Amino acid sequence: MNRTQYILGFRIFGFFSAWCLVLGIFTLTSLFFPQKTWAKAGEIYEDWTFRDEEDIRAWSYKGMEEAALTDEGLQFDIQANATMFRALPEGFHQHVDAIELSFDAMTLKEVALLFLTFDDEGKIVRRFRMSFLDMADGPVHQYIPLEFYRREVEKTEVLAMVYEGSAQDVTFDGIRFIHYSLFEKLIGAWKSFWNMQSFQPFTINILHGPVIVKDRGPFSLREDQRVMALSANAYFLVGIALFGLAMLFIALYRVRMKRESWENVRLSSLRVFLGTVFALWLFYDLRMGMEFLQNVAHDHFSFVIAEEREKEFRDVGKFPEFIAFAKPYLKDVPLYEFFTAERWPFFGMMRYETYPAKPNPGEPLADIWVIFNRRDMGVDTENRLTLSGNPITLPGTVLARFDVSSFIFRGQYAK
Amino acid sequence: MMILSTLLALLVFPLEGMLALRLVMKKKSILSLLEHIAYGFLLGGALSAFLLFWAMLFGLPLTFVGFAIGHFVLILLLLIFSFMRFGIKDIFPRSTFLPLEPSESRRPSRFLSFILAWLIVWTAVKIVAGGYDLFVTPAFYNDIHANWNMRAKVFYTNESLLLNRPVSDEFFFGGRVPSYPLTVYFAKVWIAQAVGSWHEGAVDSIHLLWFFSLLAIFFVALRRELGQMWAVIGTFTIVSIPLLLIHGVNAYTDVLMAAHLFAVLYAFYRWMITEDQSERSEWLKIFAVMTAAMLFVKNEALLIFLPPIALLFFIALLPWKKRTTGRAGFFSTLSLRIAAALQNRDLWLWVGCVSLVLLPWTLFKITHGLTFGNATEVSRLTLTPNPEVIRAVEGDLLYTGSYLLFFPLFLLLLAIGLRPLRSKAVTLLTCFFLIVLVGEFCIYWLTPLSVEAIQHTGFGRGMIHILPIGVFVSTVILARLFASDTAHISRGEKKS
Repeated sequence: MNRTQYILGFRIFGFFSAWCLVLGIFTLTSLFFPQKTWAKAGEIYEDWTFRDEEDIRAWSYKGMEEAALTDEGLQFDIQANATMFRALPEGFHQHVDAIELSFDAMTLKEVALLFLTFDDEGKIVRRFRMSFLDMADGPVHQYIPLEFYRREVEKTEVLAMVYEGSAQDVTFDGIRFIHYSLFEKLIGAWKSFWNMQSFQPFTINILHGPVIVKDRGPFSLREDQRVMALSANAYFLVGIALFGLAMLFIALYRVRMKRESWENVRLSSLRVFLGTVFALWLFYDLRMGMEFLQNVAHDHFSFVIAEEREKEFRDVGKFPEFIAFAKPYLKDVPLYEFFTAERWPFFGMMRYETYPAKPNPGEPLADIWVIFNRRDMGVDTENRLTLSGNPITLPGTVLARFDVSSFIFRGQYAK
Repeated sequence: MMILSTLLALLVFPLEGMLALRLVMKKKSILSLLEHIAYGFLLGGALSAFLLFWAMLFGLPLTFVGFAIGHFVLILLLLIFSFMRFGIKDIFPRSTFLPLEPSESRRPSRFLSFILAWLIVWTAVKIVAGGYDLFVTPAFYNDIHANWNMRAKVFYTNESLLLNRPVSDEFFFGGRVPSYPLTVYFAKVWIAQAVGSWHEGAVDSIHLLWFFSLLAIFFVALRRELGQMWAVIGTFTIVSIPLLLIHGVNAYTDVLMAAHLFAVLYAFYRWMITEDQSERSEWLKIFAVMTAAMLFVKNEALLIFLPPIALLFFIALLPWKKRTTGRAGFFSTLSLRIAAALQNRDLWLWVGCVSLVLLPWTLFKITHGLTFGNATEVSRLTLTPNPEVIRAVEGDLLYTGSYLLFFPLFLLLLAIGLRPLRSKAVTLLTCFFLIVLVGEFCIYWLTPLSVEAIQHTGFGRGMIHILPIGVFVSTVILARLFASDTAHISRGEKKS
């Protein structure tokens, strides 16, 4: 093997290795850092859980008369609403990266976390509220990455827990303030870069692309958080700008100090710069290409080859299966009533799929009722279609049932 | 059987388009075979839709028989005219599959060849995966089931243009956006009729072929200008733009619009840089025919793309050789130049060809109460700046994964590479890109369409149309920056 072949082989090996390395690191990080283990990451900067009387005294209370210390935390009753206050830990804005809190308040209307700023007279001048509404299923454990709310909580001094509604035996375990090391933040950023976005209805208009979230916590990037997070593009563009400036200074140094010709230096510098930018483009394309392929694979496994009735399609779930199920009953029907939990996009999809049979957008006129995913609709003992328990048709027949909350009914509208 | 029927139905478009292109060109074709097929596929769809539409207004039924008769007569007439013009041997062009590379283009090293091969494989994997998804998944994105497939299904089901319904009827002229031209809808109706039922995979299959047409035209254009290596890099780049890939493998029509627009502007570019008069007039004919065809694809073609193309074409026609000093001298020379441009035969050939589609279609829209604009009527737009649009557009172009880093890098390339290139043709293409970019921004910024930019719906899709032009210009500039000399960048182009 001559020297040229040797170098060529080495380059090919290097290029291929680089790609494998990127893919390998991505796979390995997914394997070794699954989401469950993340909760253990990070250092507790300050712990506000309720373990003894001193923990109770550290808070100020309003609208709360009695409380008991239990193994699960502080337990109390609420008549209308109540609030607990406490000054934020020292160094909160500089060192705290996330907050964890736990409570159990099943019958309350709302629990909210407030960050407050006061003026010299003690009046609230600014507040930022995070509400938790989904409490019906039992104890709530919330992890809040502060990276998304830095601007909102900036300069706040006091934290408050607000309980709205009335309930007995509400339990509040407390709050933990978490700090991440630089290494942990880097791992968080790397993980978030590879966090893929699924095909959404807006994917045809915009792809958010990779974001950098320096938080290793146990949270999955929601769509609203993806919008709030800083795009990886910002880092790339700053990196390109700094690299370009560095290349420019090196080029000027070569011309001034080493007396090289500007034309040669310019050409070689531009080639290095543009070659590096192209390599970055390849890397970014790898990230976005993998997102695309992952989504296609997801469609394949969850929809195309899945068992009938198990098929789930993107964010519309079983709706395509339901359409296929309903179509035979709508063949010779010019107009039908269509009820679904959300009008968009289901109404439009149904309109297209069943055309020339059309779903009626207005006051009921037809005898065929197509119900998809409506838990508040059913058929009573007199075979009448009901909405929130009230009959809306004369006695009729269930033509076919897709599942508990989805079926096709024939019956005349009871005006 | 369904696959065979779909393929046969699809075959009609390139056949019609290739024959039509052949007819307007001379015996010795300037296009490669791949270009003939790709340009023909685009042209065939628009041409047949336009002619069949008029035939249907005059009584041809919108049924399988009606469409079959229409296509048959069109192909027959084109064959007869081609036969009369070229004889039996030259009805179809005798060209090489790909155009010749520039003689100065270098062969890539083995290392670079390996990287290029890798890029081809990676690109192919994405397209194949996307194509598979297109065929096996139901209509998901809003405009597919609300407009593109819906309107076609309405035509197919009713076997009528539904022009007898009141304008306020939801299915008047097919419904949703009845002012849209009919190329996309008629192509789908024809496929469904050939297949015998409305089959999602069959009617959507044409979108993948439109995507392939764009890639073929783009690849061949770069191969002719810069050589194989840059053609692969350019084509890889265009497929690597995520939003364009998503559109390429979904039943939206922005990639079709982009393909038509690129075909128009590349022919314009070739017309500008070609010195050989005979070849130049051939490119002019392609430019004129494709511009006319473009008008029957989407409303944007008429309102957003035609005015800057007309302006730049007129500028390109102005003779720029003499220099004058003083304001009076400048204006008198300018008026002389304008007069000279107005007397140019090329201008009137182009205007005449474009008018063949523009005038009847505009007249039809006016007489039938159809609007001008996209989904929103132009006459209803009021001018009120919305500052939120600036932030939304900035975020869209710079801080999302939709275009990777294309827009900032494009501006950077223009800054460092456009001036040294000294190419009037590339500059005019760049002007087109920037006019449309700024123009679309102003439309969203100043009108109630701002909602579409703020909610990230319309603006991003509009960018799809001009991306191929942007990537083409970028690749030409990059090739110039990486080349040790400029000779092979634009063959035959005069340096001003």
